[in-house]
Amino acid sequence: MNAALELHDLTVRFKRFTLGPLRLDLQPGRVTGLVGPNGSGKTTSLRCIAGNLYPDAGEITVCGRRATQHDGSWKEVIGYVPDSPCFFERMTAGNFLRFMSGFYPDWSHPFAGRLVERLKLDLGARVKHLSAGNRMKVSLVAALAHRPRLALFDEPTAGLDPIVRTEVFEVLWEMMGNEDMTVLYSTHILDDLHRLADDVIFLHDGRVRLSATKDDLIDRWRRIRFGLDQELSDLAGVVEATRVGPELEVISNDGQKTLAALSSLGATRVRAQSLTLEEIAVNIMKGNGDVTHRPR
Amino acid sequence: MIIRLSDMSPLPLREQIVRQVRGSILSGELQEQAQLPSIRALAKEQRVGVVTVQRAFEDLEREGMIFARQGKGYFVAPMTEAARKTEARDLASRMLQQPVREAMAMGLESSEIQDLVRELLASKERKHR
Repeated sequence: MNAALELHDLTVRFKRFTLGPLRLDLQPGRVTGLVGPNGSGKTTSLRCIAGNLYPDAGEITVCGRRATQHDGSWKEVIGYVPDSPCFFERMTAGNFLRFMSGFYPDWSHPFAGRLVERLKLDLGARVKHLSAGNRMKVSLVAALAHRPRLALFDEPTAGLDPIVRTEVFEVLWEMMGNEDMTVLYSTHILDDLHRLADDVIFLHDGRVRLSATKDDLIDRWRRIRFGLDQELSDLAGVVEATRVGPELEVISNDGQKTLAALSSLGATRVRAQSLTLEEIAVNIMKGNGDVTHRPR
Repeated sequence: MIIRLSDMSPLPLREQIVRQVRGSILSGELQEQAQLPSIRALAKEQRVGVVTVQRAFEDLEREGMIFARQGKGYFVAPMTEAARKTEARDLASRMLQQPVREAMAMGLESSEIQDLVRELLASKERKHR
């Protein structure tokens, strides 16, 4: 089967920032979280894939369709929820959706109608009079009504109140039941990904710092407390060590290795705990993804 | 089979799924040869990623609780009533080790711990009635 999205050395150069070269390969039907601090290149990556920004180098292939400037057919299978949607402010929401439907041969009016009903959208209201939450909903319907095979979400829950956020998620979950849809979801709210994501890509300064399956991260990272009657030198997997009273607490990116090493050192009262995705992300972003031991 | 996943639990989602499915099998609620929901259906119902469910099912398969039929999904493995009881007993024994050790570390005598367990069981039974 074709990958849903392939990036081959995608590069975008700005005056003060370079994105890439990015290599990426998203398998169909999976949800990938794109995580990184502000300015790490999340929005730029999504804009390129959606075709709103031309890369300086590299190739983008969506479901086997090469992205080129003279043939826009790859865009037909993409649904894109941008970080700041561009609307015609004086149009009504209904007219805006009708306008958008013209770009997608697979647009389904009945399905768009169902989404509008689910989200309780007022189609008669002018876009400029809509709240942030309702603008997001319009953008969501515009992105999903053609049942895209690749959905790109750029921080869809940023700035939304909890009720709208839940409604947005319900629609997403509804769509996820559809095996054909692959999702690339950018966010810095790790909570969004805790349940949703299958894979996570950590971007930093325009480059991929780490790309992993979420459950592998959850399996491997551990917080371990123990007593040890000798000074701690290099310990397999440990990325951070802190002394807590008479005991040591370490963060490990390879729990099994660390536990094995500790048992051969004769550590006592060893307790291991899993980390949340949020804690893991913070450690990876601090540069702790690689094994470096920093004694304190 | 009703699965309830909690975001507050210290257990990862995958482990929560494993425990709850295993519980349904060992209690006899899920009978042998019963078909489990498809990975995608369960993921959608429980609002978790497909990989998480996939891995949970693989764990259960490795334990011999369930087996896969090519292209048909997962089914509950045949197990005698006695084997189920033994398995449940072993698991419970392993799960109880930590709390028992901690209770002893706090200076409780074995008779006091036994009393505690009896009281807990009695209050559970009251609730079930």
